[in-house]
Amino acid sequence: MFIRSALHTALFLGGLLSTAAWLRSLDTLPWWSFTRSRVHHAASQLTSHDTLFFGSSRFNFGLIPSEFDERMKELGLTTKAFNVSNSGTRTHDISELAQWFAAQRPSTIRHAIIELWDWDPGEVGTNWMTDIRIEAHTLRQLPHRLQSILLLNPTFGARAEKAYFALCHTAVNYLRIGQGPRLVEDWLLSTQGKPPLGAWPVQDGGWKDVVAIAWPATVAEHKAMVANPKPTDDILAHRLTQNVLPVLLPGWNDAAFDQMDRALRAAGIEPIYVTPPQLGNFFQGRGAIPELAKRAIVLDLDDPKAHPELFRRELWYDRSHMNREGAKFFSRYLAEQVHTALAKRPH
Amino acid sequence: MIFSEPRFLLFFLLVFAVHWSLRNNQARKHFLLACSLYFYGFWDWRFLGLIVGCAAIDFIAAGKIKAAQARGEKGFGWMLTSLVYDLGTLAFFKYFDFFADSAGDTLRWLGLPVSDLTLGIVLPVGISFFTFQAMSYTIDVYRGRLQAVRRFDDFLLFITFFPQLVAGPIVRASDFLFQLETKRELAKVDVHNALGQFLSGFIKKAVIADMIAGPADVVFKDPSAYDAGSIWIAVVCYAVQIYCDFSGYSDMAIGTGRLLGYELCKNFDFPYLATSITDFWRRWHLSLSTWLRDYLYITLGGNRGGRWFTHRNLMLTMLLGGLWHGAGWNFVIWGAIHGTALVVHKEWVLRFGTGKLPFVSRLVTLYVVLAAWIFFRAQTFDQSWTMLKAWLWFESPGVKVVKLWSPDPETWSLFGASMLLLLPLLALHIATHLRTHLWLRGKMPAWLVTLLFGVIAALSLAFMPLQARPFIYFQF
Repeated sequence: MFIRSALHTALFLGGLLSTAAWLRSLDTLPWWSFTRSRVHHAASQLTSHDTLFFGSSRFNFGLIPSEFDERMKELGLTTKAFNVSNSGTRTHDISELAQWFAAQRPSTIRHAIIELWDWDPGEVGTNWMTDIRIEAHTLRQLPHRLQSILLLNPTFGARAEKAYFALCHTAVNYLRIGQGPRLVEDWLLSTQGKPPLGAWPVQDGGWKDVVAIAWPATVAEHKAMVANPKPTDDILAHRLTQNVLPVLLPGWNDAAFDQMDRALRAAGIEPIYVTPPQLGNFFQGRGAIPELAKRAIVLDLDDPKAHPELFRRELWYDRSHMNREGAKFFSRYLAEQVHTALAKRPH
Repeated sequence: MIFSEPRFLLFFLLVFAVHWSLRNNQARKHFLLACSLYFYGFWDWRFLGLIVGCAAIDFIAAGKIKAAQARGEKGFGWMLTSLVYDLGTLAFFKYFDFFADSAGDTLRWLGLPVSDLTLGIVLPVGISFFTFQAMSYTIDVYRGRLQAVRRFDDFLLFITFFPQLVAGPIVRASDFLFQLETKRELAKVDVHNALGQFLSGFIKKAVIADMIAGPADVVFKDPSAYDAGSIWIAVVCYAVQIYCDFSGYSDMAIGTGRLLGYELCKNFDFPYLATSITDFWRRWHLSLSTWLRDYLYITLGGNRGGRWFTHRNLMLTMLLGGLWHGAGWNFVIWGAIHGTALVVHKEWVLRFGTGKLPFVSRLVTLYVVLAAWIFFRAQTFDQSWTMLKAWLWFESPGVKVVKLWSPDPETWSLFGASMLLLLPLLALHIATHLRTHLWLRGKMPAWLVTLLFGVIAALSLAFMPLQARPFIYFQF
């Protein structure tokens, strides 16, 4: 009886998982939310770029590839950068996207400039089926996500809830739950030689102007900062004397970092890690930077004392995101920093 | 926690494993009871006292009725106590605000000053189902059709049994309590049958109903903006949605019950194939229609009086049946339409006999049933009337058009895919109607059936929409 039950359970799971695997094999582009257009563009033109930016909205709104390339050219280095950053992504999602690109074995990509931030998986929500980046919930990420959940959540309840969502989202992604109609659409379009649905043409090398996005929360924060800049100035003043806040929990997951770093290097891509400047938030894993700097190029730009130029309020739209002028400045500034770091590193 | 989410899967796997690993029948029942109470408490633990209290009152009342009957009395007072408590609970939680609101509107219409009378009462989930289940028990004991159960834990399990707790079927005590007396055996459980029932329910609810709800929602939200064709599409989509939603839930409940060794009653029997409105009520929400027949229609006198007496009873039964669905005049109108249709059908049969053209009868029945759904679903009476005019006279209130096919993939995914979903529903219907699944199961080796279930489960998951909707009947 037991053996029979076990056999049937295995057969059921076999049917389920093999069908899911077949569905996954039909997926022409496994990035389907608003990541899609930039990922599709970068993936389909892998040979025309040599530098990719991976990050969250801070990079998405803050880095203009053409400005970066121009400054690099002025400094005597030719680059062709593309910004694959996506608003709302967390470090685990960024890591997954970078690893996916590494798995495509791009022959021309030499550098990946990656936003360095807390390994907060950000598993929140009430719907087990949806998350802002469900496709970044892969099996290779799952152990690291669970590890980060343990690191960043003090209570059993919070850990259990977030672990439940991490497991659900991974299952949803792996089983392609709810993706059937999209898969059919993508497949139909691919047979006609057309790009997948939602892969709109990309402009400005993947950079987005924060004003064009106009999220209500961002707009409200912008208005509040313009109306009353004092709280922001106070934070900056504090950071000029002491660039850390009391760290409640460790925001650093070394194993997850290693996985991403190894995957990129194995694909012949040199990662350059950057902590982007922030007016309001703080990178909780700052303590890990000295150790990381021994293993990789780390540009710690979230330091108003070392990089005061980046913290001028006129460059900022709100406390997290730079405006158009800020993006231009930051792109050129980053190019200089990268150039210097590359020149300094041992060959 | 609904049947189509992973929390339920985890919960059920645990229940299934522990339930069958317990050897003692009493221990199993106690475990199932604890799980059922947990399941109900998961919705809102504050109402656990309500459901346990309801069961306790009916258990005591039935015991007292039996004792009174042993003394040669009827025990009417105890039966009345049970009814007053159950109906009082239902009236308070479900209808107080509705009647208070209606009374306030009437008084205001008469020009009298009225302050807000509503209390904003939260509706306990499944209240319409468990109160009816409990009432049927005491009435059956009073009528001498059922022995009063001796153990309160058994009775409480009958009321709270989690697969059918929140949206039925409304199980009769006579169909369930005897199953508790004998120990269930896993070897006798037809797992393929139970799993197949659950899967077909899952496909109906999670894939078809939730997907096809899109076009219905769009048009029902603002029907005055759409043309008559779009309104027809929306009404058809809603008819499919509500059928798949509710019968899907029932299938999953029956399948879950079977996996635990318990048989729940059938709730649907291809209702849209009904040849008359009378036939429709022999096929739609069977556990409610038979409940209304046995405990309301027959109590009112049924067809034991004259023609008009029968018609009155039919109308009253359907009006109350409509009100059972929800505290709103739209449900009363829905009940009235069905009541009127039943009366007209009875008169027709008396004068002209039964129809000789079953296909035409089916179409006419479907047309009336779908027209009635407009009142069930629309948010206001004005919207219902607008949609009804489009349904009856093809009068377009607006110009917007819902296309069934569009070269734009985004539009296609909403409407075209919804229409394509009718194909698996049709296949499911035909397969079940022709008993193809039984024939196939007879022909196929067991391992292949299991493998096929895995494949079907994966495909169903892939084609379910990412926005899960609550079961429509949960609100009742």
